[in-house]
Amino acid sequence: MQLRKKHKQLLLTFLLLLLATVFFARPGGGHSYSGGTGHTGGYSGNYSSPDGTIIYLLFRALPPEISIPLVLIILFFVFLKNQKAKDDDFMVVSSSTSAHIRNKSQEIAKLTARLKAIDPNFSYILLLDFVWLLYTRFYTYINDPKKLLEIQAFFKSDFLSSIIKMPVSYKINQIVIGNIAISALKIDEENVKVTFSIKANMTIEAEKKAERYLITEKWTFERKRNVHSPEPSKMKALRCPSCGAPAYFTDSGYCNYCDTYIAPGEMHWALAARAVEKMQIISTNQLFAYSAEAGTTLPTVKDPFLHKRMAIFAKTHNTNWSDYWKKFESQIVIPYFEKIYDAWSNLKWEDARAYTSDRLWEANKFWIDLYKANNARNILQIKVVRIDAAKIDIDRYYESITVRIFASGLDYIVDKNGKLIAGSKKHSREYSEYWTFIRRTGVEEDKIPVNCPACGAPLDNINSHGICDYCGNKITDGNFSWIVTLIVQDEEYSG
Amino acid sequence: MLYLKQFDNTFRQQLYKTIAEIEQKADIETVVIIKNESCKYKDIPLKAASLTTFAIVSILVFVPWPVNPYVIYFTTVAAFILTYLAVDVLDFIKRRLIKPERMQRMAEIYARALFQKSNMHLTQRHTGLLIFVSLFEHKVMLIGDKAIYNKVPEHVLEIIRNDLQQIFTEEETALSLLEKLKEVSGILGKYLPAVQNKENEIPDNLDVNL
Repeated sequence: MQLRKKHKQLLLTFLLLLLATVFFARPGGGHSYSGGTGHTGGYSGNYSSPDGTIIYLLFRALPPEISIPLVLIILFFVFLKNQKAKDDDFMVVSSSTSAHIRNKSQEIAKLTARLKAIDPNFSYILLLDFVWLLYTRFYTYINDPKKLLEIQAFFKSDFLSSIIKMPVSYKINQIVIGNIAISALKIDEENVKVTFSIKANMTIEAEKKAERYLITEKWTFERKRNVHSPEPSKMKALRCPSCGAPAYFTDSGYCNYCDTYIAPGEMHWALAARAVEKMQIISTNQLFAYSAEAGTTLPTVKDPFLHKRMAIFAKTHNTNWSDYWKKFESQIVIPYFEKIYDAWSNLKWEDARAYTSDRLWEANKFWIDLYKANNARNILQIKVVRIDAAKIDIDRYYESITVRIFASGLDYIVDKNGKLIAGSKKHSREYSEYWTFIRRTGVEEDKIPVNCPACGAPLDNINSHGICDYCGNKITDGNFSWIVTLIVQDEEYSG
Repeated sequence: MLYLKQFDNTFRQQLYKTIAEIEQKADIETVVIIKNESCKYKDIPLKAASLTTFAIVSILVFVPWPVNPYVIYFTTVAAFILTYLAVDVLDFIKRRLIKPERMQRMAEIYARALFQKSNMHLTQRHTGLLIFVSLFEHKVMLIGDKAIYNKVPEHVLEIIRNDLQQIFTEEETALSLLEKLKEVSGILGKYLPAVQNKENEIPDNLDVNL
């Protein structure tokens, strides 16, 4: 057991003074402050206590007018030193505070509402899908200029030219996006610009060596203001914004199918700028690292239009919000939470397939595979304590409800023999996360599916693409029921 | 340190706003880091305690009148402990016992380490600027990337450094820092004018840990 610094100091003070006791104490005898004629002095005394306590010696050796204040002064300084030690970690960095993040998210929410007024087809969920797809394709094709050219209509100006002229020698695969959120939005007279903050991890193979990297970047997309967003089929796949054929453009930017010149940003979103903020190698140690919960006590980040949208949602579904909320908590949030965390704890991530979007499932599958590769398991025995509504978004194609789930319970990692590696089997951990549920507009199903919502077959045959292998229907894009599409930690959620 | 309380949440919010204003007026990616100290200087209290102890022992052993050995022992131990604690805890004493050049050097080393560790040198236009404030040493360090040194004359940077250094003469150090930073934005904007549609390359939630 490692002693804390202040305990070490107190122990050292005690030992120093105790040393005097051990040195001078004599069983059955003692000494008195009798002075002496020389430096060594002589001592005799009638002290009969066998212990020779420190305080006694101190008071005998020095007059009380000195010894008492001396002890008090020493103790006072020890106290001050301990207080000062608390400031060891003091550091102020000029980064966003939680208040600023909240203000910024409110600003973005208002601008998003303005964008929807200009573009009735705008769907945040579909835009996330598009960004997700483009990000993955870009990195997959990064060392293949021909493939990059095929999707050049989605990149503005000279963004790709430097990469195409001087292709990179490394290869990137196993791209997993952990989190993606709007960090800035600008609407001016001519253009709309949306900046996404993306956290991803990927394997980079170079010089016959593969390393896993965690990357944080900002991607800024631009589009003409007067353009309406394409329909879902053109947002969920990279397609020619003109004819809808799979993206396949010539060197000069013409669609190979319809021969239309697609100027980036004229008909569809195009990447205008990219900035890598952080890049670090992921080690296995990070899998087993537990850090203190940072955001549990932060206030819930609520969308400024939450109450207005609660009313709109309730009216759309011919209900009142408080009744609907009770049903949503008990029949959607809690059952989904339990199913997904059970699948996680049991390393049977396929059991969560029917309840999660493709993105979320793939992102977490990476971690499950890492646990399996390390013969470890993260066990979560947790219960939902409270649920706060944070955001409701309704557009032409999707409706989404973001909730903040507060949970408490045991969270620990064990090896294949059940031996504890990290966390605690005894002490509960309290935390919260923001979960976003989505479903297609018009869908009314409000229960967790126990069978395939399309054909009624058991949910034991949902493949990795979210398709029921019994009936061939994709059930994980919200067409039939709610699915979870995003899980964000409380300290990272910004609206 | 009592004045650490000045750097509370309100200050942090205002600091963030001030940085945002700087970046609107000048093409620089600024990060301000405030740390209580750049080095522990553990040798200083040890040296002071050793010297004091030696002095006490010398006095007590060679005084012409007899002194109880217990007095010598306890006074020596107490002198060592008291001096060590006093020098370690009381910053104004410790600061006077450390050479100014040493404090300057330690603050600079720490600032450069922070600059590297936070990847501030990786911005596209090399316009990263770290303003590092080390409270114990009473030092403000400016560490900039290539573009800062190429475009801003050294004497101007010196003026900015000296100006920022003045915050330690003010009682409201935190407030003074914010005011000085606003002045700095005006000066730097002349040499590195703001660029339209500039992307922030340094993350909002910069996480630096040496």
